[in-house]
Formats: sequence, structure tokens, C-alpha cells
Amino acid sequence: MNVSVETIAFWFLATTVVLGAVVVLTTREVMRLIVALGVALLALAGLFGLLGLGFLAVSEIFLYVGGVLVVFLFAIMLARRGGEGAPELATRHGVWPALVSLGVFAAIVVPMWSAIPRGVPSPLASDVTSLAAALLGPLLPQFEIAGIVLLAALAAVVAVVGSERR
Amino acid sequence: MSAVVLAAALLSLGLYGVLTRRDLIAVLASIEVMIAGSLLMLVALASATRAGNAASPATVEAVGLLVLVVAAAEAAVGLALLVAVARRRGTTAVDELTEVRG
Repeated sequence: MNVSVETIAFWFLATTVVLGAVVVLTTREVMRLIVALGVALLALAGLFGLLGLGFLAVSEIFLYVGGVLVVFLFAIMLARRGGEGAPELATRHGVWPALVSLGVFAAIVVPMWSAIPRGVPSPLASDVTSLAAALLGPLLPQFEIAGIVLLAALAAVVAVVGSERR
Repeated sequence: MSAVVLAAALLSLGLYGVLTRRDLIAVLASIEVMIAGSLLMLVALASATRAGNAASPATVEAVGLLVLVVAAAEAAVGLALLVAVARRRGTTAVDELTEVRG
């Protein structure tokens, strides 16, 4: 049995994503949570790259690892200035949440179990030129609406955080 | 086991985090994990059904980018709410934020 580089990379990245997600769910320290989320999202970007979506992978790194994680850090710095007595991130593990999430997992996977392809997914092979043609062609309304959503989010952030300062 | 199963696993792991974590920061991070799972599900299903698929890979990538944009907007608004709540109430523990009144 010969194992290709793609197979090894896929399993390595998949394991990293799941381990990062598990650390996000269980750690009690804020910084460890941020680092684990960053590792998981980086590995996810690697998976996108493996699937042939290079631009999506780079956007994931720029937007998430470069953008959202920094916003997370700033929010934590603004929200938790407890110093020594800063509370740890508490978790209340239970049977019911586990059953609910296992049920959701089963509800997604079981109906399409026979249709799910085994092994490493085949790459989609997209390029930036056709991506631009899609975004500025048939998907132009959605592209514009995404811009409006971002503007609305920006206004909402200013309204929510700025209104405290009277 | 494939990317589809991995995506479903990420989604349910994130859901477990949303249900069990007791701090707003951790809940928001768990929501990010859920969004990552659904984005991976989108891409993995596009890869799995490529044979009889009318959508080109570029369309899949464009829709993935739109999901990424909406997720970034969600994260920004969620973290702004987190900062506002922390300033006003002095805590980010979910258990202490049970009133709808501000």
C-alpha cells in the first residue's frame, strides 16, 4: 500500500483541526484558547489549499488568523482587565449537551453515509481569474450584499461600543 | 472518513462548546469553530459531488468567500457586544447575564 503526500497532508491537517477545536472547547486559559483557535483555522486553510481553493485558503489566513483573532485579542484586553483575579474560562460538561451535539452529528452524517466519498477529497482546482469572473459576473448581487453586510456590521460595532462613552 | 465527516465533527464539537462553555469569549470561539465546520462542509460537498455538479470550482470558492465575509461580520459584532457587556456589567460569565434588561 503506497500512501501519497496528499493523504498524509490531509490526515495531518484534519487531526490538527480537530485537536485545535478540542483545545478550544476544554482549555481554561484565554490565551491558550486564542492560540488553539488560530492553529485550527490555519490547518483549515491548509485543507482548503489541499482542496485546490488557494484563494480561499489565503483569505482564511488573512481574514481569520490575521483579522478576527486580533479582534479577539483586543476584545479580551478591553473586557478582562481583572489582572490577578481574572476568572478562568469555566465549562460545565454534561450528558445532555453531548447527546445534542452527537445527535446533530448523526443527523448530518447518517442520511448521506452511503453517498460520502471515502478517503482524500479530490481537488477542485480553481484559479483567481475565474473566481473574479464569478464574483463580478453571476454572483455580483451577492458580492455587493456582502459589502453592505460588512458596512452594517461596522456601523453596529461603532453603535454598540461607542454608545457606552457618553 | 472524509472531509464531510470532518466538517460534521467540527460543527458538533462547536455546538458542544456553545452549550457547555460558561464564558462569552469561549462561546464566541466555539461559534467560530461551528462556522469553520459549515464552510468546510460546503467545500467538501462541492468536491464530493463534482461529477454531476453544475457549479464551477470558481463559484464554490466565491460562495466560500461570501461565507467568510459574513462570519467575519458576525465575529466583529459579537466581540463588540462582548466588550459592551463587560463594560456595563463587569463580567463575561454567561450565568450572570440572565436578564434581558440592560
